[in-house]
Amino acid sequence: MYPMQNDDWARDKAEFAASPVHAPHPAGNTDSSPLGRQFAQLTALLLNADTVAEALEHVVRATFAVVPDADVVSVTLRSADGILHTPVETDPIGAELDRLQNRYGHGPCLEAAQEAMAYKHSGDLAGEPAWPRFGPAAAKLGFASVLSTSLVPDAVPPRLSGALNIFSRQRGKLGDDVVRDRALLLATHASLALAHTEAVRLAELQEAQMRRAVDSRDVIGQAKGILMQRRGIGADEAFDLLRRMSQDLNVKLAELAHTLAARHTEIDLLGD
Amino acid sequence: MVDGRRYQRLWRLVTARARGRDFSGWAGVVCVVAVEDVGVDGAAISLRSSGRAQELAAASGSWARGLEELQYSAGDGPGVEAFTTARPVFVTELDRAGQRWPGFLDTATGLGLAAVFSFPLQAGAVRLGTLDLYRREPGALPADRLADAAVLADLATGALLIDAASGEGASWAQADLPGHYDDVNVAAGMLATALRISVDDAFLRLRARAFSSGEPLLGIARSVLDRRLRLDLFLD
Repeated sequence: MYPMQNDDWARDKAEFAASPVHAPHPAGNTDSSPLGRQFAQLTALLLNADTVAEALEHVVRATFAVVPDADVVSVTLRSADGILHTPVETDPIGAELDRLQNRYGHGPCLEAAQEAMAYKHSGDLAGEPAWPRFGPAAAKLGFASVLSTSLVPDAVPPRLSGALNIFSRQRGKLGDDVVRDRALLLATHASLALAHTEAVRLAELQEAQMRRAVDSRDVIGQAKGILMQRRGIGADEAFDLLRRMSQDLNVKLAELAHTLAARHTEIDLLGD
Repeated sequence: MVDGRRYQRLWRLVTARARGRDFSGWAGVVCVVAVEDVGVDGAAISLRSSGRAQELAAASGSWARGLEELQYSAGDGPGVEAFTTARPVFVTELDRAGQRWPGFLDTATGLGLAAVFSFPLQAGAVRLGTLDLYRREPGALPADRLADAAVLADLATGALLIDAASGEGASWAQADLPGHYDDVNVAAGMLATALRISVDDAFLRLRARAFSSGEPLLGIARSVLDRRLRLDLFLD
């Protein structure tokens, strides 16, 4: 017989994954700290969350709990048209703060949602030179400090990009490393929660995109080889030639490559 | 449902690793964590399709990379099977696996592979590729480690989706960069032109040459590219 462990995977996977952890692990020690417990609880909640909004709601609550200076926490999502949406917040004023940034076209949540792996911090919103209109407006609403951390880094549509935002009513807060690290960890949780809950919806689309990218790279390579052999030229030259032909004929590079690879014995190229 | 504590612990290992300076995509981080946590000697993530096209998304090192390339060369192997059947493939004693993967087994054993654990990466109804864990020692993984590996396969699926969506980091996800197996495709195009045969036929001849010579397919392809290997050697 085969030395195999194959079985009904769906059933076994659940069983395997549910079996208790016996071996001690260095990373497991933080479970005993209050912060560790918060994260443990958060992850358990995220795994049971049915919707993106529900998952983000848990992240927002956990952020509120582990950042002592937080007065308002929100998650901002940026849609393909660049508009900020505020699906979850600990206070309705979170949505108002996003609306202000939409109106002025600048602000921490907007910028963190646009940039990969970014933090945007200010400990003095009233006098913040980076946000000359949003800063004073936020100060008028009673906020002095802000920390926005990007969610999914460098996302492309249809995936939403976003930011986890923490506002404090006190000046000079939310700028130290401890808060930053916690925010990054929480934002990572939110990003992965987004990735997982969106995965099923987006997977088919992305799978098709990935598959197309892999396939078209294959035929582009093959077309390069065909041109190299026909013309006695190098790989870079062949790629340039391919690109020029694609422009001249107004045909997509991958399509041209595909035609060349599929019908190269019949096609005579100019100059052959 | 998946054990939350286990998920959380592995998640934390992955995110902690992802903050390192050498970050080049989430898939790579999952491979590193798989090696360290599951206790295997190599881990790799490949995008696979029902056809020949494959892409190496990440490997923990050159040994694992070589074994993925071997599966590409051979067109069979544990990852290929895990992908095709949508089930994990565990072989705990490779030298007793008989004629299961004729193109893969002998060379893999020669490279020191003794046990392999391949997981299909499934997102909903869609299969993206596999997480392949390679070990130099024969034997089953303890249930606890196997459970970790299963969770890491889930994380690997998310990792691929995130890597594919982000513009930086993972080179395989960037459409304008040549793929890992580009040289094989270029060589197939050259050979097809020289012998006036189809690209598919050319690919099969390259593969046959790799099989009979014991040299990796990428190596054969590079010999063709460098014109070190005469193309008329591939005539029937």
